[in-house]
Amino acid sequence: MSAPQPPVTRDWLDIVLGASVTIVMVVVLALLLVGGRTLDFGYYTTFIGGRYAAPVYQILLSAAVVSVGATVIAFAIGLGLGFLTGWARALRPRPRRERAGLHGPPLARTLLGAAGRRLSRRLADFYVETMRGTPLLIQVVLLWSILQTALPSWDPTVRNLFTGVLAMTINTGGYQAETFRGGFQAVAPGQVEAAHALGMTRWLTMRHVVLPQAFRLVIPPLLNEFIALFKASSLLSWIGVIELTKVGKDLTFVNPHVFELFLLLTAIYLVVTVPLSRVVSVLEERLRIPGLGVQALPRQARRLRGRATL
Amino acid sequence: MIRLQGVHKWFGALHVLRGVSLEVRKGEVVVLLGPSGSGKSTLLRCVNLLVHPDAGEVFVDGVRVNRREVRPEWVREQIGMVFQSFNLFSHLTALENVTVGLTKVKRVAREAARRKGVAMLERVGLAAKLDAYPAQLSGGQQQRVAIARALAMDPKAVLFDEPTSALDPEFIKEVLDVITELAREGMTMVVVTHEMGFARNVARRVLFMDEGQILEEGPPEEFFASPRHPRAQAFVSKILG
Repeated sequence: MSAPQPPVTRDWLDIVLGASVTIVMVVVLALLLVGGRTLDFGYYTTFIGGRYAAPVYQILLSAAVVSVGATVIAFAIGLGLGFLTGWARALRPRPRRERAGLHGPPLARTLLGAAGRRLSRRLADFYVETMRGTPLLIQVVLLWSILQTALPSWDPTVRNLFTGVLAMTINTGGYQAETFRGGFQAVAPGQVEAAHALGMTRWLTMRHVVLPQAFRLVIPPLLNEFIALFKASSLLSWIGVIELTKVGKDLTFVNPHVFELFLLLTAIYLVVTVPLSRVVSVLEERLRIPGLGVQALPRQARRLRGRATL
Repeated sequence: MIRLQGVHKWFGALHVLRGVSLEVRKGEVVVLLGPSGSGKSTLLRCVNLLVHPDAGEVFVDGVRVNRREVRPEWVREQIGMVFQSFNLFSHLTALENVTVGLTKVKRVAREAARRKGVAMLERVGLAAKLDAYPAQLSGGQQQRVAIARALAMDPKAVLFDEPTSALDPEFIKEVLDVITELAREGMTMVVVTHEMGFARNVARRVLFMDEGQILEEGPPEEFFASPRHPRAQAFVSKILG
């Protein structure tokens, strides 16, 4: 008697099927859009003169560096902004009698603390609501018009790039604040109480109890935010930042082969976004707390992950 | 060791504690009884200032602690607490749960903290579970880790808030045994519990609370045999059937 064996899985079949479907779809699309003419991939190496003065693929690659760079910088600074704002929004106002300060820190500090908590909460609310409630494009253009007058002596190219990155930073900070707040509030209040009971201060509790657990929870939504931000970086084309979308748009003026051009643009965006979801799966697996959550077998986990990215 | 004098607490308009006074001497085990909502947990939390009393005085080891000059963290460091729902830190192993207070709050060196943590877990019978995470432990084991976590801080007293109420029946005894052993070693303890057998065997004194006041107190034999206050009589007859 042999033990029952797990059913044989055919990962490769999935991959082959998925790939053929994609290829067929692209070919059909190409035929529909390009019509009778043959696809011109030699176009990628065509030298474009004037403002860009480089072959198409080179122009796109340097624009990709701008897009990715702007996103990475904005996202990184936004992390700090989002963390602090999310913390401020997670603070619950204490009951009035405790704030009145029968004990605890001196009265002035207590009142200041209470006012400070209240104010920082309100400010954080205002910030997040504004960022979530208005289109990024409006924010970009508005900031552009402000910095246009505020920094008149700057070189326009530099100023536009600075404006774009700043707008993206502020915007993503607002979204990340919501993610962090959710993560902080998802940590069991009982554990926070237990940390206080051990004598931990607010900061120690955040650092050693809340943050390590919230961190695991916020990774997937933060990655989504990164991808969304990267795609939203295309809005910087509006204020003249030479990034991917702007370049794509400009190149259509010198050459009519829009399909080939935007196929390449699509590929560049995908090359950045798709591997990122892989990175997150690996991170999640690695940071999983033993015994918590679904205990999938390694093989099943791999398959489930594959599904999730489709 | 612990003294409360005329403590009041409001939650909004709700008057949860109505002038409670209580004294717990060194090495004494006091059990708090009473129907749910009577203010037992709030009273317990007033001792280590997880809840700040709105009026009244709290003394720990002769020091008035509910005043501006005293950091509540300093008070909590000296008084252990064990919760109904264990509240272990789920991202830390059993050993890390026990040592985190030592290394981060008391700033004990890592190696010394580890030795102490191992000793504490051995004391509660969990030497084999040092590297297990809370989700991998049974309720009874989790609660024993929580007790070890409280003891590792060398507390002057330990507060227990219904330590067995969230446990499956088969795990209650192992936790009560640990607490009983602790009582024998002379630890000062205040225990909120519904375990009458435990109250009878271990408590030196029983306090009966209802509607934010202590209505009756006395040795357990006396309290269970002949409660004087009508509400205590009703309570005792209900739980003893």
